[in-house]
Amino acid sequence: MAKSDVIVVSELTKKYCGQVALNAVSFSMKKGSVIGLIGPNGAGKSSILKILAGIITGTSGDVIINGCSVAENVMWAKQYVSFMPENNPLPDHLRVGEYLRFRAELKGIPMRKIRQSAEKVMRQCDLYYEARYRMIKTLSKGYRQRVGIADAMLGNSEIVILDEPTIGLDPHQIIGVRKIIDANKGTRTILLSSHILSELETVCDNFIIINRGRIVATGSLDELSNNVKGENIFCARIGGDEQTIRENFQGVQIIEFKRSSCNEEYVIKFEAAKEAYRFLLSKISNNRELFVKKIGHMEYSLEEVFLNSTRRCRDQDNADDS
Amino acid sequence: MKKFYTLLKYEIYKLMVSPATYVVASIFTLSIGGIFTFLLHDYIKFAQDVPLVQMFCRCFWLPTCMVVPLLSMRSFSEEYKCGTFQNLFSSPVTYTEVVLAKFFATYGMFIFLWLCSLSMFLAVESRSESIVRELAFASPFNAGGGLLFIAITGLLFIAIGIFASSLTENQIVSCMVTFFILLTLFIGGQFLADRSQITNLSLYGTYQESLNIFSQLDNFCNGVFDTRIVVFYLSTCILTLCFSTVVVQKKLN
Repeated sequence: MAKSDVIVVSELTKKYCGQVALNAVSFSMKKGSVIGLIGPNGAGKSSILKILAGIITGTSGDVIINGCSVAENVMWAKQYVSFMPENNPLPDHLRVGEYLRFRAELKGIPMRKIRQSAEKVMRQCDLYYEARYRMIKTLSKGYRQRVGIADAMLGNSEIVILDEPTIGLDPHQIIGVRKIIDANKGTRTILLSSHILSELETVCDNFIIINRGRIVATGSLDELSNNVKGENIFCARIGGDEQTIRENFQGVQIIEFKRSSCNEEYVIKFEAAKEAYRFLLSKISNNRELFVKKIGHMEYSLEEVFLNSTRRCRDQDNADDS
Repeated sequence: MKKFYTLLKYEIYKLMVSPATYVVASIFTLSIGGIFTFLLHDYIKFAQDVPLVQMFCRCFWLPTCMVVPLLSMRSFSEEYKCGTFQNLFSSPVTYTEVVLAKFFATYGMFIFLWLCSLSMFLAVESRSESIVRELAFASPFNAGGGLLFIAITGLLFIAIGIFASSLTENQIVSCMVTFFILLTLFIGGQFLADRSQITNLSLYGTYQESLNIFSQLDNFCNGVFDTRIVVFYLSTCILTLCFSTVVVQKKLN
């Protein structure tokens, strides 16, 4: 365990009536980092988040927050963690301001600072002028999400856990949430779970990909891409005649050959050994009929990394089963 | 303890702003108003060997059976259904604090409703002739003892309601479970007491007192303050609340 690790999860297992939801999950989070937790439905994301928030307990394994085991001292750990659950359930009979003040009281914020803290988060989440006095039951989905985020940001919790915070929000509101997360980057450790991968890609430093209760990949997007791509997989965007391009690519194994969306160039995904790649590079750069726009190692988006990782895990499971 | 007061305030507020609470209060007022009017007419027409207040307290089972399930059914069932429990338990509060806050808020409302029923006696007191007053109230022990007994038994009844609510997310099921448990307590205790008298079974002898709610009520109304009964209701209330805490904990996990 490194000194800067604020959360350390080791060999965490959770079973619901004998059904394994989490299977020996281990990871750690550095102070001030923003981590995205990704996984298909039923992968165990919400279970991890609830265990970290101290709402439920793991069947075995341990979660250590700031050097203290959550299982041994839940109340102590809860002071460090703020949690916004999935679907953000809120009591309908309260006004936004009342609810946030109630939550602040429960979180142990001193009485003289409650009003101030509630107003601060309401301003941060654009609730102060428009929704402060409104009943929660009359709020739109977007406003409700903002109330949930404001609740999670209340007080000085070191760790903020947000389960699907941008679900149901319009693009303006998503940018608003992104700004809130960015403003807290470095001071708070934020763990985000979302299915909007492009959104996570922009805000998160690191990612944890989980499938069927197991972690299948962790790290930054670059690290995850490196794991997914083979060292010999390359991608090129080349302009010119198709026949000439194909002639030049003889000797390497083409995985995919297609026209780009703007029809101006060809996108070629291919596999080649280092020597063959160097030879190909010199061959096409000397060819005046071809215009090389880009060539290099394959770059993956988070979505591709996610799909690849989960597919690999599924294939492995199927192979084990058979 | 500070968290408990915060939760208690929240629960009381929740009860106060809920239209359902006012419906329950109306049902309660109508039922005890009806009972009181009926008894008063009866009392004026025919000679009675017990004061009016004691006769009124003997009928407490009917409004209790109606009001306790309706008041307590929402406490946990609604939270389960809406999912607001996750929010609540993400903050540093214990299961016991939450259960106790819900219990005391509901119990407070139950007691408040019964205290409101005193207004009917105050009306009789201020409007009737002195002889009627004397016959109706006999002594302060009758009214005080009766209400004290209702308050003591209320602890267990509300705890049962909270427990039933902690079992399910369906409010109707919770309401029915509470209603049938309460009815069993009222009728079952009386039935066992009668049976032991008829069959002369000494087996029930010792427990007869703690099972027959109506004979306990008569004792209280006559000024006999039996601490065994207080301990019985208090301990069973605590036990039921402990069960509720365990159920809530299990439900979340």
